[in-house]
Amino acid sequence: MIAFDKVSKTYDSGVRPALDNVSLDIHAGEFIALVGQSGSGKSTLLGMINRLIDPSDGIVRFEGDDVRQLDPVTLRRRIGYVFQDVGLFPHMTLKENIGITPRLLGWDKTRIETRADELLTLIQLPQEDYRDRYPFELSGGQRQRVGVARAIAAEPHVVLMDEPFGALDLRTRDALSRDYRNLHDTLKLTTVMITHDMIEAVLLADRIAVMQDGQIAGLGTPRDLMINPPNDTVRGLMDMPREQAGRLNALMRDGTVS
Amino acid sequence: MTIDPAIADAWSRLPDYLGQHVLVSLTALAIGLAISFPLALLSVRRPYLRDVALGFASIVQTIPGLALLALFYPLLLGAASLTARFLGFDFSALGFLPSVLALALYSMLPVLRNTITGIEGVDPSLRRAAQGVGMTSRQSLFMVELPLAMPVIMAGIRTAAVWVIGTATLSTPIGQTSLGNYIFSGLQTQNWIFVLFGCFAAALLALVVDQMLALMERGAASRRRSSIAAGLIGLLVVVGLALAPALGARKAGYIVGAKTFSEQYILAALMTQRIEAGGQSARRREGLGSNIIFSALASDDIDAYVEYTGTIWATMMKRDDIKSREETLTEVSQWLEREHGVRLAGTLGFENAYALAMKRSEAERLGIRTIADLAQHAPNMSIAGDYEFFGRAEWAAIRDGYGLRFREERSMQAEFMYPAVGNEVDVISAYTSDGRIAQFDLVVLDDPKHVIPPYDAVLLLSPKRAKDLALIDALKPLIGAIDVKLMREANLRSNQGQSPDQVARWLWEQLRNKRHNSLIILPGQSASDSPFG
Repeated sequence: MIAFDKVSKTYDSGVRPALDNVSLDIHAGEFIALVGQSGSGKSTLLGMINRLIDPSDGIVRFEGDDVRQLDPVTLRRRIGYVFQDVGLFPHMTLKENIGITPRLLGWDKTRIETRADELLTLIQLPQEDYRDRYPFELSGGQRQRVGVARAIAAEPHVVLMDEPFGALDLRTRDALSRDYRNLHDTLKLTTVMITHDMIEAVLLADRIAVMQDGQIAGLGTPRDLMINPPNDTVRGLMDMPREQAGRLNALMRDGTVS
Repeated sequence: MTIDPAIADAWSRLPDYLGQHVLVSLTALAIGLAISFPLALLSVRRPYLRDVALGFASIVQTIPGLALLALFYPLLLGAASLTARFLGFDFSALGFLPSVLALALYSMLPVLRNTITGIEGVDPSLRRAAQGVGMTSRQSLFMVELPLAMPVIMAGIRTAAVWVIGTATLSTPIGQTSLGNYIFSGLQTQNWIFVLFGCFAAALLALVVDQMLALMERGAASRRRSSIAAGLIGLLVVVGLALAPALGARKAGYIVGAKTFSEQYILAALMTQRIEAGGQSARRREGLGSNIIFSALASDDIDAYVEYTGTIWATMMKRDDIKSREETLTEVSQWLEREHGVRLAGTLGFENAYALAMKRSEAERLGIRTIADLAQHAPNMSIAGDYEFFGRAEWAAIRDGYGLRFREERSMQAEFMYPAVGNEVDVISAYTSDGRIAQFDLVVLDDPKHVIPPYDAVLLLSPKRAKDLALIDALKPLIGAIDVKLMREANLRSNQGQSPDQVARWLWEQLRNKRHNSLIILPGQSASDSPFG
């Protein structure tokens, strides 16, 4: 579905490359989480898929095509994108926000409206009440639901998510990420998600790519990486959920955190 | 209850002045917007163009409003003569066009600046989101950045509107009727009610327009279409009301010009009244600069005004020799006809010459009776002149003819010159027909060397009206009818606060009582040549 072939990216200002000879295959229907410290290259990798960023070297393929041969605007309309800061347009109603990519694709009006209503129902915001509201009237969680709805409105096969739930409180984050995983399965999406939350990565993703200094330090299912970490970086990261769970259990059992 | 005549007079002029003011402001604003808004959009993603555009607009802003307006007159005059030569048409370089262009330029900076900063101020994450959902750069600009920048842009438009409405009052001296007519004529004729009325009307107009735009701005900010609509409707109503009289019956009619001092306002009022009494319609273009008014007449922008032979002699013909009143008149008349096709229809009967004047008591104490006597005292004295005086050929002639070297030369508004003489300054440039010479007990110094040319008041007609019998018939009774004593008294009345229209009516009463019939036939012309023959 998406393939990185020896991809590098050097920024003018950067001393070392942001991405250093990375190869990665993402399969159709897969849910992949990109984890790693800030500056490890996650965002660069994600942005290359819909040509927000172009590689300095190497080839990125989307459904078999070299993305450099594709018009970036057309490409972006085929790929859903959920932003960390949600990025709903404040001057547009929810209906207009959700319908923006279909509108850019030239769908007719009734089809856009039907689609918007359908998605509002899907994200559990009753269409009659919410259709004509503006983003400022919503809570953070509701806004990001709309952000997800906007990303999938034009029926893309691929959704890119840049720390989509990072700014939400834990309960909302948990509920939303589970709902999204269901959506991913139901709609047979391919999802690439950046996250800082290891528990989220472990519980949601089919595979995790651990990024370190512009390279992929580890790639595998959460279970593989946890049982069999290829190096200390991956081990350090993958141990965190388990360690936290262990401390939690200790607290429950002994009344103190050891 | 009676209304003060000055207020009634001011009210009666409001529809014309306000309508013209709104028309010129609105057109300027529309043109300014039509240029600066697209320019701002083009500049947003082009740093070089952005710097050039903002730099240019900032420089324009530093030019004083009056200077900018005045600058467009010679510019357009040149352009008009070029189009006349190469394209076979010319246009009026006076009034509406230069005013609109200068004001449009003036309105550009706030619109440019606010549009650019408004768009640049849009949250970068929204620009990224626009890109991410698949918008082109252009779609991002028009669908996201522009709508979000709208409140800031509207604030810029508000600033531009207030500036333009305020600055439009300065378009009066280049021949565009505006609310500034109240201010300029009020200042000249010491009609403070006019000055206040003009200031108040302009301020009120600016305030109302600003509030309507503010309503639209709030609507844009809160995305309430009803506010935007209300503001827009309010604006249209204001503009509609202001323009209704201006767009109504005002087509034909004569245009009488007046320079920037009381005598000219009175005589223009008198001419207008006479033309209207003859069943024709007439309006005035008052407060025109001394050089502009003649160009306006020569190019048929105005139909008639009163000029002084010495001004034409010294300033336009560039003559520095001095001839008698009759010879001067003949030569001036022939020169006008030959060079410009302008008809000198006759003398009014009085002279308004430049002169030097000082306090009678002071002159007597120092034994000064002539300019020659003044020369030896001059190094210890200061002289004040109006804004034109020290740049005029007459001053050079007086100064060089008598070797005058004053300690200080000051330019001031004529109204303030008279009260200043004797305390702030010692000598002033005065006009012989000025009623204030007697009022302030001044003495006019003799000119034994005859360096000052004669200044007979003459009625000039534009080339188009040179043989216009209706106009000539209407103005005929003024020819040779006004002696200097009468004019001084009229000027004094104006200085004491009567409106030019009141004084003109009083003057006409005097003329009728005198039954003055002496028609002055121009020297060098036979009776049949004279338009009044």
